[in-house]
Amino acid sequence: MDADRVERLIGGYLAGTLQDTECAELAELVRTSAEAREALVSHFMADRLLGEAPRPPMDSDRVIQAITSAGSPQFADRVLSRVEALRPATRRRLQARRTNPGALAWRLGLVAAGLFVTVPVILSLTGPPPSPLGPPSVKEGPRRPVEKAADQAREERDQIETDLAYAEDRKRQLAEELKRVEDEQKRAELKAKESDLERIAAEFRAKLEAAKKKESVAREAAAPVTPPRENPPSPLLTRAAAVAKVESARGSPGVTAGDEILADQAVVVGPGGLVVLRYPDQTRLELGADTETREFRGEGGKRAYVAKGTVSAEVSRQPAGQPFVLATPHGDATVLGTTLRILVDPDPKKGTRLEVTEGKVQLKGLRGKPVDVSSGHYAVAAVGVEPVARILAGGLAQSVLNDRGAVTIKFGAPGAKLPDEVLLDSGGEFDATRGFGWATPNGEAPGVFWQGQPVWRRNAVPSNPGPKNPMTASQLSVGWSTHKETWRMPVANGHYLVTLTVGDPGAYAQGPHHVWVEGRQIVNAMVTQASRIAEFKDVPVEVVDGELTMTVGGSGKDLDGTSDTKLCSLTVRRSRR
Amino acid sequence: MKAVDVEEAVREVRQGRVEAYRQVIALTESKVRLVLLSILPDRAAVDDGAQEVYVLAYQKLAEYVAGTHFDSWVKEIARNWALRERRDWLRRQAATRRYRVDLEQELEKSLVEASRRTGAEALDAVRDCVGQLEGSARSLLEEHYWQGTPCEAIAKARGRSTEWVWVVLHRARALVVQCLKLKGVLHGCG
Repeated sequence: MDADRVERLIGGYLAGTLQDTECAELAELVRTSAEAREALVSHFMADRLLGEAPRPPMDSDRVIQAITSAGSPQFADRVLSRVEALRPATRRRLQARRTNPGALAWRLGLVAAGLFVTVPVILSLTGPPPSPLGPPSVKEGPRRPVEKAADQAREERDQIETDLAYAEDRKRQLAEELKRVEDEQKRAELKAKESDLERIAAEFRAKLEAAKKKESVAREAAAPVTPPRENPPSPLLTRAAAVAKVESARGSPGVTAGDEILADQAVVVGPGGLVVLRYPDQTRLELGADTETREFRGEGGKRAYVAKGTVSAEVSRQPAGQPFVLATPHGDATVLGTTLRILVDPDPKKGTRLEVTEGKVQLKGLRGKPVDVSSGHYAVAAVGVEPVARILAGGLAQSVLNDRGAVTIKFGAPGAKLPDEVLLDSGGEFDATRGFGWATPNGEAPGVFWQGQPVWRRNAVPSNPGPKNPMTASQLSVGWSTHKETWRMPVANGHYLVTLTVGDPGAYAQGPHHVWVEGRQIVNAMVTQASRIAEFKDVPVEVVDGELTMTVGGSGKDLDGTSDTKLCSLTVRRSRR
Repeated sequence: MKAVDVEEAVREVRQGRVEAYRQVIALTESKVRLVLLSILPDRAAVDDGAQEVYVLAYQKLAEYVAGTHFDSWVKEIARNWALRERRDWLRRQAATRRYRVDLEQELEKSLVEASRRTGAEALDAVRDCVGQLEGSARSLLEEHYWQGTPCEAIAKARGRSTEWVWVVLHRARALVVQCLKLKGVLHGCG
């Protein structure tokens, strides 16, 4: 295992910055190496423990400790307040006991002031009185961002008020303790603590003032402008129609679960965020991290504009003539009812990638003919690219093959730092996520022994002495004279050129290597000399069953008692013919 | 806070003295948080999670058989809650981050096992282990974990690359892991 590579992968995992291919690489490492699994889990636990461990006390912490000396009372307060909500009578008793008289009077004043402000706001939000002509009464619309800001300001103020009450309560308790203490030194310590608490309380008071001002500004903004009496606007004109509802939201400013998304509203999801929208017909949109969407429409056919990012959609069957259109800067995806994912890159050369899991979607670029993208396919609309539907086989290998026109599989031990376009096979069973692998789980090869010991079906072994080139530093020992192993990779039917390398750059001759690809023999009982790799370049094969299959072993011959093929790499390239 | 046996505090809560639940929390919170920290993919969810677990435990308190280790009982509630949250999180990620999901599924069993085998004493031990480190290993761990400075900011302040910070942090963490294992508070993932 390449320690530097493992360090980098674990570091990236803990920092949350791993790319897809790195995640796949780390998953493969964890799957095939107990050492790597152990390292990752240990580092994860250490990371979490370090983040949670009480840090050593520093001078600036003394005040905090004075307040939090009983563990985590604020946490316990929050739990108890919820527990008490389950028991209303208990909650009332506890509140009465915890609130000191000063704070109670202050709170009463605040409630009165709140009512003074809130009642007119509520009355004004309910709209103007019905006119003699009788405009239709409408249901109250969704909450506006300014109203939410006002609520947030009120919550902030409530929180600061609670913290202040708590700090003052602690200060009062300290003062009482101070009266009882005779010892000079202890008195001096308590005096210092009292002064710290007074400073904290003063800070909270200042914060409270600021929060009150912020709340007042937010409330003013939330209060609707009174319309002229002679021309009252209809609430239908001032409030846009709701298009969808927010099912869950994280990392999107101003959007919370339960909100309604209005026509033409924008929803921006920040890094690490996720917003799920649900339409009345159960159509579901999942807006991934770093996604910007706007111009939501519901009437006369659903529509949304995806400026950038990733949107996954499960679209319910839409009414005839009213498809769901997901518009992007590079083209429109017209949906009748399906499951899809759309990825919009701000770079016009990379464009919009549409992946369809179920159903059929039409993708139309800015120029050219629209293309139908059906289940299991994807297409890209970008500058200078005519959209073409390509197979979406689901695995990493297929993505690389589709995007780059070729994919290389390196057979060998994990840990080597491979180029981005090269995927590692360490002998694992077929895995749909990777998109390739062997037909059976690994284990003892039936009926095959070497020096009286059973051998493994597939064994990733480093060269001895090992070269530095990660592409040749190790190989996969697989298939014996009397035993074959089968490897497969789903691909679209068609013509391909395969390049295969076998052998070992180490100190020993190897073979006889024996390999068939798609029924065509590429290597026939060949022995490679010490430190030699044999390459079979661009051998044409045709796939007709949706899967490229390679069979290794079964030559019936051996070399000094061994007969395993040393697989080094396989490159599959799309061919026009 | 007066040292009180957790079983005694639980008994008082069940007799209707809700305030005693504060003591139950104080005596078990670090253990519950450790379970959540081990299993939840998002560290930021631990605070809310702990709150949910204690509310849930309160609602189920009638089911607890007195004298059968309240610690273990509440930790099992935490473990089940965290696993449910973890799987919900993975489902939400499945459409856009399937390789991360694949990795997390691969790790799940080991993390649950780690949550069972790592005791709350590890929290004190980890501080002691950091105290035994020297030089940039220690200062980086303190800056990153205890002062909350992101790797990028540390790199900038020291005129180094972020990768350098990752590598030093990794090696420092490896020493902490080694120390925790020597102290017997962190075990292999089994």
